[in-house]
Amino acid sequence: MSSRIGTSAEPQRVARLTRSVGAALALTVLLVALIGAAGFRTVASDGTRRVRSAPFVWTVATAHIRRDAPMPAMYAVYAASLAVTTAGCFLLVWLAAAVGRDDDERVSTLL
Amino acid sequence: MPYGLRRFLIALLAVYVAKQLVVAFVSPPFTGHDEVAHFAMIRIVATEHRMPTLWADTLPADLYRYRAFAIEWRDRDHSPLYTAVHPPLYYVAMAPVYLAASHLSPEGIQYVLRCASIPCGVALIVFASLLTTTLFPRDAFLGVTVPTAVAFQPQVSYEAAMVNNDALAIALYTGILLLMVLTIRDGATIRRAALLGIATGVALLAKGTTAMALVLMPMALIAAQRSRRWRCAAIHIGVAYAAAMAIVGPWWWFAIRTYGDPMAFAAIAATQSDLTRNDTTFLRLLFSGGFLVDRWVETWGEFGWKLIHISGALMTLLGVAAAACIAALIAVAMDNRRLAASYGWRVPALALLAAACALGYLSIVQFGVRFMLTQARYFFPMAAAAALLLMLGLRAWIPERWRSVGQAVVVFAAIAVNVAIYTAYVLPYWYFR
Repeated sequence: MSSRIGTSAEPQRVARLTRSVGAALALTVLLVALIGAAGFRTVASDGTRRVRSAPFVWTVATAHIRRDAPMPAMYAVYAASLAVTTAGCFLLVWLAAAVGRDDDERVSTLL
Repeated sequence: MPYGLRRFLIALLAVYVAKQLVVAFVSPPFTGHDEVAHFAMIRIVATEHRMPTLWADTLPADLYRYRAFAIEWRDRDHSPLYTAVHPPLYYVAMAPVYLAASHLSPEGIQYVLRCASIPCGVALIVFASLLTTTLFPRDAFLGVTVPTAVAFQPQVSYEAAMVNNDALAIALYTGILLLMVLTIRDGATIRRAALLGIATGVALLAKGTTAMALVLMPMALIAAQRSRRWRCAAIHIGVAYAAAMAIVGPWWWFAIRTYGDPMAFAAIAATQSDLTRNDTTFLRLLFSGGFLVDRWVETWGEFGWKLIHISGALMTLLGVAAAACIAALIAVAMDNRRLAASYGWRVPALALLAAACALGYLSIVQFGVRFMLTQARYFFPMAAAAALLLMLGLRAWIPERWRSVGQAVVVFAAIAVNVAIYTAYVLPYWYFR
């Protein structure tokens, strides 16, 4: 097994960084579009189909949970969890792109 | 484990816990499959300090309004508590949680019990990650994508956000697969065989769907032999089975005495006569495209006891992606057959995971020969093994220098599938009328 070191490795490292950051940026834009702007063909229990955005659907669900929660703390935990999940999804995309180059041993590259 | 991967996994676990809380609270009370029946089981164990039986206990009349999410609950007061055939571990573990929350309404207790299932999901992701890093210690692509695929698989996650024994069984079975892989890597010893047997016994106390471990156990112990000494292998297998039987034996003895067989199949058939069948064969179901499609659809959707259906287009897209991964895995394995011979312990370990997946599907088919309500979730204990093999296949499609991009795309796709399923189908079904 060999690896490049010194200046010969630099262009590869830069190219890899460019690809990773570019991918993370592009996926962030897509995620923003998906969560914030895209229209989903929703299907209600009576079969009604209507195009709705994710914020609208989740706002209605959140209002129901706030009203029907059997415990006062439930709504607070739910709202905090939803915020963490949403923010965390963006973070995961960036962290995934940043995890190191495939440098597994010979066995892994064979498969 | 490299720092970047460790950082990613910590973030994944934090997001997973938050996501599970959202799923637990956004699903109306008792809408999970059999949730009412599992809840009643926990209540009996917690308050009456005994295991319910199919013959003596009935579905809880005070929760009859949730009958749509239970099997054949026609008579409010006399329908059998069909989950009573399950082994006791999950119910005993949840009994203290029930008692701690007993001042709440049944719905409130149920939400607390749903949250108590989340640690099982966390354990599953940790085991999936360890399984991956044990086999491929420095592979960033697999290190990222396998735990992500498990964490964001909608139905596997759903199991760990409801009152049900599946999540515990899935986590324990994945732990067994990890132990088997470690045993193959490090070689079989009496101690490791005993540990494997103990883990299998404990998993069998969680749910019968883990019974496939009894078939895999000798395969793993034979593959883990450092020399061709069959006597030694036989001793290891004997020790493992003895340890497993010492743990699950008392429950099986109880089940045989009460129901006639350890899995209570005859009793289930007797109480769900409308849902049993004798019009098909194992081979017919095995090669049935319709049967496979039904299981695939259940793998991703059919929330609320098969009430919420996901669009065919999304199912097809996911099916094509999975098929492409499987095709690549098979093609690469065939191409590298000679090289594979030099992989050493990884070949039998991967073969074992593939065997686990195959056995899982075969057991669903076998159950379906007799029972119409065979379900994809009986395959979920193999979720981590399936994810690892599928991602191994996907990895073959992606040129090496694009894999860091590929792993980010997989994470995005996993998130997008969840956003689409919950936004377009699950939430509108429950909250738009």
